[in-house]
Amino acid sequence: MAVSPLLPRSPSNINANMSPAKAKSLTVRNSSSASASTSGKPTQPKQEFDLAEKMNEEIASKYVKGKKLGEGTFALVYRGHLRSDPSHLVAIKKFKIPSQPEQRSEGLNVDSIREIKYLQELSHPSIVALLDVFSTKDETINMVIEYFPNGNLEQLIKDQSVAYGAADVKAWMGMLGRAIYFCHANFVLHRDIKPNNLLIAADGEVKLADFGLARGFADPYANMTHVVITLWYRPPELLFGARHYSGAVDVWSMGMVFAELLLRVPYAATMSDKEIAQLETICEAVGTPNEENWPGVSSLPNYMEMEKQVPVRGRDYYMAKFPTAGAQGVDLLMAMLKLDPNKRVTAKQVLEHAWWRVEPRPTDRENLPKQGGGAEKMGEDVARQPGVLADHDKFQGVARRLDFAALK
Amino acid sequence: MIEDDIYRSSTQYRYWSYTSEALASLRQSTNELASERVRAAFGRIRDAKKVQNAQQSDHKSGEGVEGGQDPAKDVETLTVEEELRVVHWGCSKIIETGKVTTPPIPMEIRATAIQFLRRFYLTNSPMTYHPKQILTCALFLATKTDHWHIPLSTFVDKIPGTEEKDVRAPEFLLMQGLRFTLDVRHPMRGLEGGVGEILKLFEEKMLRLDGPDPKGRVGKAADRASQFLRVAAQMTDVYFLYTPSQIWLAALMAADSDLANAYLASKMDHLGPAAASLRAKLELTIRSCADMLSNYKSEDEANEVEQKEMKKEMKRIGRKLHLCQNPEKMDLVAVTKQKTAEKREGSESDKERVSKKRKLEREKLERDGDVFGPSLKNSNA
Repeated sequence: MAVSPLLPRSPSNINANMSPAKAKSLTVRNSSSASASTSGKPTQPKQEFDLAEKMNEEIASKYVKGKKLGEGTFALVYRGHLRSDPSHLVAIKKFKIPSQPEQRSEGLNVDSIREIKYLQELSHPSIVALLDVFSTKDETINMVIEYFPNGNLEQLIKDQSVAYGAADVKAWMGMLGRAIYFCHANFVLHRDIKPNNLLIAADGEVKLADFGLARGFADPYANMTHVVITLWYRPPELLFGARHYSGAVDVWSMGMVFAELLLRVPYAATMSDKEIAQLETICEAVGTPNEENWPGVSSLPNYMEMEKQVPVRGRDYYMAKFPTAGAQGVDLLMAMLKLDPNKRVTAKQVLEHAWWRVEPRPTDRENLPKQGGGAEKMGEDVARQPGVLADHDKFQGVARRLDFAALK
Repeated sequence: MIEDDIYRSSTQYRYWSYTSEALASLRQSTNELASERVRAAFGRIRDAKKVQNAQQSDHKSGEGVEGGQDPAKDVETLTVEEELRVVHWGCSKIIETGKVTTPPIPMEIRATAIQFLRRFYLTNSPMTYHPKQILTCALFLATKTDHWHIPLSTFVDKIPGTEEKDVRAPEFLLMQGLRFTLDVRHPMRGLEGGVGEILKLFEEKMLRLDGPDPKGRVGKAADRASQFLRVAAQMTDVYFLYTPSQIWLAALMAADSDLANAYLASKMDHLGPAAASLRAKLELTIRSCADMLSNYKSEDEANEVEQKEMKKEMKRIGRKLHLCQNPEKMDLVAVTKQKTAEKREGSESDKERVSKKRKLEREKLERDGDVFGPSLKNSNA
């Protein structure tokens, strides 16, 4: 029986050398006076928890931590299960204590704080469920999330042994669309949508994860950073340095995921971490932004006249490029990839689109293909820093430096 | 999905909304628990002294042992009422602190920090942790949760008399007290939207306003209401007892009750008699919240005699708190260090730590290998 971690082993704390009876007589009665919020556990000698600490202990004791699944810069991921039901698996993401003083200097990492903040608020079948948060004695924070044994969409797209079709794509897009609509209806921008943040649950449901770059909608006049969203999925307004933007940024990323699901390769991938290169790729894939197709674009802070002049790609181009999507599917894709964010569909309009009402019907969840890298892959996914691509770390840019920028 | 459903799924509703009875009883049990712990802590000191004295008296026999008073018996602990006054002092300190920085910390962020502090002290007592230890940390945490993050070194530079380690030390404790919920839903934006809607309704002749300058009247009411939200709403329990939309409507009610009633009428008249009971309930709720807001009197608003009285009372509580502050929790930096050290002992050898450090340095080098550095810096994420 440990002494409360908050009690320093100072000379005044001599409990340890006392007889149990005496120690007990000095100890506060904690179960009776705290009955308002805890269900009177048997009194244990020497336990001196704050109410908040007691609540925390109760949560922490619900779970048993198992083997390590993965490790990232800021977090370790473990498999775990409910103490009361070992068959009920969970993943426990434990934020690391930075070992260097300069990394500790900011206190808790901002990405972690955001992730906890938003996941605590958002509860939806297509958003990864935060089951509990608790702390351990060494002052690290543990997030208990659902267990994802089936990897993520990025792997599934890459795994040539997995065959999937238009009906499956429609099912996944439906899940993604509902997740994003739900975020926006809750006034939250995700700002890092990409296939490897879409985890595949045991039942086949695809769930949006990693809220480390998320934020609430800003006031209309307040600036936001434009250095968010992993480069390949970043919309042109952010590449041009827009400081005021909307849910349209997430819709662009969703469009890129849609295209990638259909092509099985990223639609606008750049082998460079320069925003200009990404813009050129977008010119090629979607069209060159100009005042005509996007009034006001030239007044964005980092606007530049593009060398590559490509007229906005028309329906025929998309039909040829994405034959499996069908006419309605192509229509939706084009609506999500409008250069001008004001003309882009909203998440709500995505869900109301005619594509959902034409054949094929989305595959039922239990019949969706779900091979993947399994649990180890989940460890990596969940532990990864936001804004970073798994395989192209070297070429990728800028979003991952967010917190380093804050440190300097 | 209607807005009420969204609000009901928020942690503010699920964890931080109470009936006034539940709120009072929670504070009561926090107070009782803390009081007993303070007595126990003083008791330990007393026992330690006894042992010491006994040892000393072994050496010099014959001298009196029971010289001093018994600190555990004498210690008079704060009442719930007094604790609340101390927390209020912390809240007003946050408002002041945010004002003195350049640029000032936005009011919404200060409001978040204040609510963090108020939530924290539902399950913690000022006798255990004095608000002066917690409040700058609450303010710093609010800058991180509400996207106004500035480096800690800049933060402490802006606020005289603070040190980085003191801001950092209680962060974890605070998060725990907040039950790891960091979202605070404020009524300020709702008020702005509501005022905009009132003006629109007036233009469209859906809302009648008397008087020579109806638009000016709306503007005045909006300013007063916003003042209520910035101070009275932060210094009272309204966030625990009401929803954000009830709070802004109440602020409008407190500022200009005819205007607030006209607005409610424009929203509810067409619902007919079926909504009568709902409307009565709504008006009652908003009225009671409005009363809380308008009954709050800040020190600045009080007259001279009242101000003296308030200061005197605060001094008395301050002295009392000085005597019953839990002696084992005074130095939070030390407490935190102790805690982390306890856990880390043996878990990681020095050698491992060094190799990890090397690895991190190497990774950092690789990451920052681009001589041009990151292409862009953000100012406010």
